[in-house]
Formats: sequence, C-alpha cells, structure tokens
Amino acid sequence: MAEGNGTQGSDAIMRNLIQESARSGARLARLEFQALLQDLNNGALSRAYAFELPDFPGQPDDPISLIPDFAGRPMPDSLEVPLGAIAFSNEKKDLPTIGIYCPDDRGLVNALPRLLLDLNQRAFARLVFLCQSIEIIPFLGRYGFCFHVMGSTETEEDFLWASKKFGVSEVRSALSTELLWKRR
Amino acid sequence: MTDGVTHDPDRIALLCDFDDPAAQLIAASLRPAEVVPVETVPDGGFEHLVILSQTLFLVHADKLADLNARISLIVRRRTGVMSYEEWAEQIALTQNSLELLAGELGDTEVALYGLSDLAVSHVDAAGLNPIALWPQSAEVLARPAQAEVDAARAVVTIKGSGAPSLKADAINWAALARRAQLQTTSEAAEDFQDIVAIANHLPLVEEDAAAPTYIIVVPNGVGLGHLTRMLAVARRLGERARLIFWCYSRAALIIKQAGFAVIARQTAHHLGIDGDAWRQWETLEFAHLLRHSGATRVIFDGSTVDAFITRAMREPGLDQVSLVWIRRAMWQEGSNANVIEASQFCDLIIEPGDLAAKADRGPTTYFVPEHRGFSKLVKVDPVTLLSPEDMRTRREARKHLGLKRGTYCLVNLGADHFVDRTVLSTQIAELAQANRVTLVWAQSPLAEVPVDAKLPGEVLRQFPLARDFAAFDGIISAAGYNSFQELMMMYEGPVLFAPTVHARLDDQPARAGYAVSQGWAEALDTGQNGAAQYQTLSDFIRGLGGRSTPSARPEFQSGVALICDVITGSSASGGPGDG
Repeated sequence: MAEGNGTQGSDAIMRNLIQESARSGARLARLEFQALLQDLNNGALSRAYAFELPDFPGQPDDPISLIPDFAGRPMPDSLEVPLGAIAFSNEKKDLPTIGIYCPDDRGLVNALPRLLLDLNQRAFARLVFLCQSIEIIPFLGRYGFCFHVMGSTETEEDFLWASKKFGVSEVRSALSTELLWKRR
Repeated sequence: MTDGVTHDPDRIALLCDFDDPAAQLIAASLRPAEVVPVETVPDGGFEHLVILSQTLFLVHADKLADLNARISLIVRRRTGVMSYEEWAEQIALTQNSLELLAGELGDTEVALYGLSDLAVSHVDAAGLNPIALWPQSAEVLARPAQAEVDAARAVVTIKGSGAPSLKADAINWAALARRAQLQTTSEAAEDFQDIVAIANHLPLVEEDAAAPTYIIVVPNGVGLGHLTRMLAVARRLGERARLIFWCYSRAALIIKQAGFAVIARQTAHHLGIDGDAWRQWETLEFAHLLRHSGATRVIFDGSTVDAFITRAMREPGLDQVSLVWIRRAMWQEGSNANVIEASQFCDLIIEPGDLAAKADRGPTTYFVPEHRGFSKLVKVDPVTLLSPEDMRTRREARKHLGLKRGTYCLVNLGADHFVDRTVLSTQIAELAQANRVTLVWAQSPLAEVPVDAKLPGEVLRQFPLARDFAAFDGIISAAGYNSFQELMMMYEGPVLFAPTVHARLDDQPARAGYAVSQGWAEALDTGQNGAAQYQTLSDFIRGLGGRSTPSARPEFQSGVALICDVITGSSASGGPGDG
C-alpha cells in the first residue's frame, strides 16, 4: 500500500515536472520570438555593417565542391535538426524536417518574418534553411536555426544532400512557400 | 604485372578500412591517380578496384562478379590476433573464391600483390599465386628522420634530441613515412612488419608547390579574435596560395567581404546535437573538401584541435596535408593543459607574440606534452590585421566617422553577448555625460542585440575599428588579443582597459595589468572593489581631452611575414613536413 502511494506520488511529481518544463519551454520560445521581432524591427535582415577592410590579394574564383560522393561509403545517420529558439513542441522529434530555400532576394526581408511567425504560433516543422549566400546566417544562427549554404544555384543535388544530412523531406521556397523538391 | 599500377591515370577505388596504415600508404603510392577510399564496393564510377586484404575480399566477393573494372588484391600476412592456422585457412578460402570468381569475371583479371618480399614468398608458399610485390623501390629510401615504432604500445618515437613521440595512429602513415624512416622489432606481427617495410620503400611524391591551396579553419570563438588573426595571416598568405575558409564563426561574412572563399559551418553546440554524430559529418565533408581542393595545409587558429580535422587528414589519399596550429598564448592560469597534447598531430605550431607575454602564467608557458610528434614550435611577433600605414589620421578618421568638435571616447567592451556589462556601460555613460564627453559605442558584428538605445552617444558598427582610432580622445576597451596589440602599437591616446573575465577567454586581467605596469595604459583592476573601479573610471573620463600622452608604447612589430614564410616553407625556421 505504502509502495503504491509512493509510486503514485512519484508519477504525480513527474507529471508536474513535465508540465512545468513544457510551460517554461513555451514561455522561453515566446521571449525569444519577441527578441527576434525586435531584432527584425531594428533591421536585422537589412541593416548594413560597415566593413573598413584593408586591401586583400585577389583569389581565384574556382568553384568549391562541397557535396561528397557517397558511393562505397557508409553514410552517417541524419543529424537531428533543432526546432529553433522561437518555437516549442513537446514532440519536436516527431515533426517533419523541411528545407526552406532562401535565395539572395530582398523579398526575404518580408517573407522570413511571416514564416517565423507561423512557426512560433504552431511548431509545424523543423526547418533547415538552404541559403544561396551567407548574408542571413548571423540572424538564423542567433535564433538556433539550422542552415546550409548551397552556393549560387539551387540544384537537385543540394536538396538530395540536405535530405541525407538533415533528413529533409521536402524543400519549399522561403519567398512563395512553393514546393521545390520532394524526397521520392 | 606491376606495370600501370603506380601511375594509373584512372579513378581508383580503394576498398579498405580507413584506419589501416597500409591503406594510407597504398593510396599515397597510387598518386597521381584519383584514389577514392571506400568501405563497400561501389556500383561503378571507377576503372580499378584495389582491395586491401583477403578479409575484405572474402566479405565482398559476391559483389565483384558484375564489376566492370580491374581488380588488385593485396594479400596480407598474419596480424597479431591471428594464428597461423587461421591465416592458412583464410588463404585457402581466398584461393577457392578466386577460382569461383574467375568463371564469372570473364576477361577481368584479379592481380595479387604482397606488401613485402616476405609476404610474397609466404603467400606463394601457402599456395596462393601468382603473386607479385606491390610496386615499390628496391632500396630503403632516405627520409629526413628515423623513428622506432613500438607496435605493442602503438607509439612512434623519433630518434634525436628529446626523442619526441606520437601515437601510431596520430597521423596518416604516408605522412609518417615521408617524415621518417621507420624501424620496428621482430616481435611485431608479420603484417605490421610488412607495413613498416613498405613505408620505407614507397616513393612518396612531394606536393606541387606552384599553386598550393590551404584550408583555414576558424572556430566559433567568443569574439572575433580567431577570425581577425586568420584574416591578418590571409592578407599576406593570399598572395602565395589559394585560401578557403572553413568557418564556424557567425561573422563569416567578413571573410567573404575580404574576397576569400568561405564555407560557413555550424558546431554541434550551435545545433544542440550530439557531438559524435556531428563529427562524423564534419569529417566526411572536410575530407571531401581536402580531397577535391588538393589542399596541402590545414591552418587552424584555436585552443582545441577538433578530432574531425585529424580524422579527415588520416583518410587514405590525404597524406599530403599538414596541420599548422596557430595557438595564441596567454591562457588563463589553470586552463586545461591537456589540449596541448594535440601537438602530435601538427607539423607546425605558431605562437603569435603578445606584448604582455611577460605576464603570461598560462599552460602554454610551461606544459610539455607527452607526445609532440614532428611538430615545431615557432614564436613570432604580435599579429594584427592592420599596420600603421592602414591607419587614418585624426582628421581623416573624424571626417570618416562624421564626428564634430568635442571630446570623443570610443567604448569597445568586446563580446557583449557573452558577458553582461550593463553596470559598467551605465557608469561610463553617467561619467561621460557629467564630463561632456561624447561616447561612441562599438558594436561587434556578433552582437545579438543593438547597443542599448538608452545609452547616450553614438553607435559604431564597423570592422575593423582600428583604422579610425585616431579620431578619439580616449578609448575604453576590453583586453582581448587583437584590441590590446592594436591599441598598444597603433594608438597614441589614453587607453583604459576593462578586461573581460570568463573561463572561455584568455587572461585579459593579466594583459591589462601588464600594460599598467609598463605605463602604457590604465585598467580597471578586477580584484578591486566597485568603488575603487568607479574612481579609476571617473579619473580616466574626467581627464580625457586634456591629458598628456602615456609613456612610450611599443613600436609596431608584426609576425605575419614570418608566419607566412614558415607555413609556405620558405623560412629558415623550416616549413611543415621538413622533418
């Protein structure tokens, strides 16, 4: 009898802890989202930083191969993609991983906040930002998002790579949410 | 039978265990062919498959029948864990499998090789033939040093002064073979003796120095210290080599702005994920970059050499890459000294000078690693991104920043996302207002939030800051490596150091304290109470605009040229791989 009471007591404590943890997680996500909005209002995506760099020697502009050939090599497991600091879910591991293709386009300044607002209101997926250039990386990194810089062109090969490395099931455009690629 | 193997122009797949020293040696011997190490038989895409042992052959024999490629099988002698009977049985099985396979392969031949003369004769005597010696020099080739390999302890000891050592799996064996002629004892397993023998007989092609490519790894530092130092080196090194940055700092954009190729990465910590899983992907992708860029140096600036770098460099075919560790000193007293054991992976360790070196009490000043391998330590003068000729005059700088008449003080408190300096900022603001000093708050590209809008003054979002130092009547600054060297060598006005104290940082209080002891600057003493610190701050700000210049600061000196010379191997101090 006493044992049973003890177990019930422990269960109750555990339930309370889990609920409290969920409440704290949701509260933290809200705070992070407020910080993100403030950051955006301060022009995080458009604010220029002054580079007063000295002269550097010119460098060859050869393309760099970034996607390894997997033939004959065992592939590591896909990495667990974070949800990002602005969203919370008790079942984040069950959420799909979606690639968000971010071209070098001024339209991102408007499109990204919309997407992130959606994510904050309902944690619908874990996002991997597939970026054409590195300009928005400081912003994405600041809020705990996963990114992969693809380079100047969007290719099937890159999307396939993101699928292997991050478990991305589909890729959508950050500008239009149009489906660009789906894992077969 | 040996013709065409060493200079095969094709794409060659090497079926091997990546950690097998023989695989690392054979891959190097196949250069200049493109060698792709594999752990399973690929479907295609290559003309020649080299299988590194009969064990691997037996495991994968069923996948060889449909292969449209030449096959070379290296038959190995006994390892330490195998009895003679087991080995003989394996040889017999191999013989049977080869006979079965012969009918299915048609015209495709399976050529058999041994690693040494003894291996050839043992395998031949066991009934597996015809077998030839893997192509190699008839003579033991001269190397820059001699080393003893203790197979039981898995340690390599280099003969000579201090008898430095390294773990036997620390570096790629082809890189080891290039640096030293190896010896082992007769007690070592037969296969290990063969590996040592072929290491000493393999002609190893030296790098093509005409158009080298170097990979610069920038860790995720607290501030911009690593990145700025590497840019300083790149500014000069970029004249001699193609540089590709592999960068974990969120300030990677600076590197792109400087005109270099940059691959932006995220750490396991950034992603909040397991380090082992992350490291497997980093190793895979980094090894791919090394292979396809033809890089011959990895230059790393940081306090801990991550295992993904050394694992990638050990992959078969990547033996021509040497590791240069740029390791700033001035670690905090009591820091983890064991990370210095990473010396054994390096060819060159470069310590950029610090004007406050005499106050250094950290482990780089005393710790002797158990294994330091072939690494050479080269100490150079301080490293700064800018030189005096890059600096603007006071007039130019004021015009550039749009400053009006009056007394201006630059406040650069460093990594503001890392340590809360709200109290200090508020005190500075109050004192500045009371003394009619206009503050200019420097904001790092890494800053998470803008400088508090409630603080009076202006915000300067510029990198690097140093070009416009002359615009200011005084500077309050953290005492990180770069700021300290720049201010002490390239600024003539009064400086107050406000050192940042944190376990992940260098010993800023010691650096600042040294500057005070030399009369170069003033500093907030972190050991003092708040009132005393406030007084120091107050005295400094009150005196701005009318104070005399501090006592003579050090002349400008730069270690960048020597760093570039030792990295490229054009210095008398020797370059990587000189042995």
